[in-house]
Amino acid sequence: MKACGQPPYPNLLVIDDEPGIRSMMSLSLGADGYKVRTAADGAEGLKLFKEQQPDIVLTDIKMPGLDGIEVLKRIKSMSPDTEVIVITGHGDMDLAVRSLQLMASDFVTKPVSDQALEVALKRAAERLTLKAQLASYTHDLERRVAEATAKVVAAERLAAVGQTVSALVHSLKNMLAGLKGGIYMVGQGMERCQKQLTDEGMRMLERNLVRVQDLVGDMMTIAKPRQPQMEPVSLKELLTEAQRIMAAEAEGKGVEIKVEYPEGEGPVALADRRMILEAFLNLVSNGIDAAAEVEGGEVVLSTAGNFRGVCLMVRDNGPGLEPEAAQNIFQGFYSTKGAAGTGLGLMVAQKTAGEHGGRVDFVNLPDQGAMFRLRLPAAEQSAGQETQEVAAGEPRGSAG
Amino acid sequence: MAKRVLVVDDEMDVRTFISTLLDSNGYKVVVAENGEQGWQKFQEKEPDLITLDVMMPKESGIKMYRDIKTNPNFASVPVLVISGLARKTFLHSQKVLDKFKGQSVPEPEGYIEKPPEPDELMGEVKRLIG
Repeated sequence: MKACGQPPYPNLLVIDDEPGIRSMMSLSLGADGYKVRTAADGAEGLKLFKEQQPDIVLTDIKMPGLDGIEVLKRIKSMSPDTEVIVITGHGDMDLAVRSLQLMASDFVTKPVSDQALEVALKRAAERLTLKAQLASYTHDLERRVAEATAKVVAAERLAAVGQTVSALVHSLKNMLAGLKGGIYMVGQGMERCQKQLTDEGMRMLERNLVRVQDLVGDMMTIAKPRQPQMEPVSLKELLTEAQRIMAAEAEGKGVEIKVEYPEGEGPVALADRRMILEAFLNLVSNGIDAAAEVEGGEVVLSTAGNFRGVCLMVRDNGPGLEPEAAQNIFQGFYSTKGAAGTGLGLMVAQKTAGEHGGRVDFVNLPDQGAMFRLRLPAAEQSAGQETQEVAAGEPRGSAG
Repeated sequence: MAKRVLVVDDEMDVRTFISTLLDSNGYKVVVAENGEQGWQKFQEKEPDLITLDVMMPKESGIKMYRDIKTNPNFASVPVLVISGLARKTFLHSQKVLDKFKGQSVPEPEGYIEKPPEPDELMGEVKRLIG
């Protein structure tokens, strides 16, 4: 064998029960720059393998005790990347094939020619190089993917913050415009002694102050974790209360609020009364805004429940939800109402429902409009009377 | 004859504010709540100036603005944008749309960021239509 400098993978282990072959290989391969260790049987070979971790193993197939096939299997199971070249006698083709099936890198036949050995070792070294490159590429690729992912996540986080801030600023600017307008109107009214202008200005100031307050309240709700004070709450009573509170807003927008009362006591939820009312009012307010877009707008408040759960429902006869809106409405700052909405109402309602172990979902109604449902756990199994089934049609969108 | 101004804004308070301001300065005012209604009133009332909000439900001010400025019959009517959007952002969106649609729409004649100051707004209106 020609010497050609230090081979790239010089650590070899030769396992053969014939001393002649061991010494011949040691000499010949040692002259080529390999560091050769030898073992006289399979057991010793495996022991040396564990100690030395050679890059390439040459093992005889037929040996007393652990044979070459067994040695191959064990080495491959311990270290799949180690190259194992098996040495077979003439006529051992079956064993050679079997060893290749067991992931031997190659085989050489006895008597071992220098040339055949050189080729086998060269191929083994090439495979080791390829594997090392592949491992490095894979690692590099994983690192690059991780880096790119981190960048995207950071960008998304920034974008989310930016979006939040710009939506918030937009809402605030409109409120500021309302406040400025109010001040101007009051000033003009006083200057020109026109009470009507002053009154209108005062109303603008009040409206926009309330909007600022609501916005602050919504943001506090979203930012803070809250612990609901659970108690049995009659949903029938909440319907009445919601109708009373929202009457003025509905009237101002030309919308009629109707209530469909359940028979008897109706469903009872286990909920924080104040929180649930606030969430429901958000849904009613949205319904009113939707209904205000059509002639003869109306919203209908109702409730339903069974042993699985109870819910408060608002349906409106407005234009219904566009697919784009349906996908985004539960995200903060998405609003279909332009300047009038901060896009926080549904987020607040959804958060409140979640804190109760419930959720808000919606369905576009077949004829016209949409229905939003605030689903809550029932107070008692007995309290949830078998009134109408909660699922009044399959929800097309759900934010559960 | 009093000049006519079309005020397009989805926010009721802003409409009231701007209308009162214009009215008390001797202008005739027509109002619209969104781009769709604005476009309709624009054609009906033939105003001398439009104050235009950008972010509105239904049809945004961007579409209405481009509809006006790409129509040779209407392009000469000055538009004063009054929006919560920064001027830079609005102009950027217009450039992107120009590229996308292969059009070249001029910048609006005036731009005021919300909330509008009465003096600034009247200054712009007077500059544009006297």
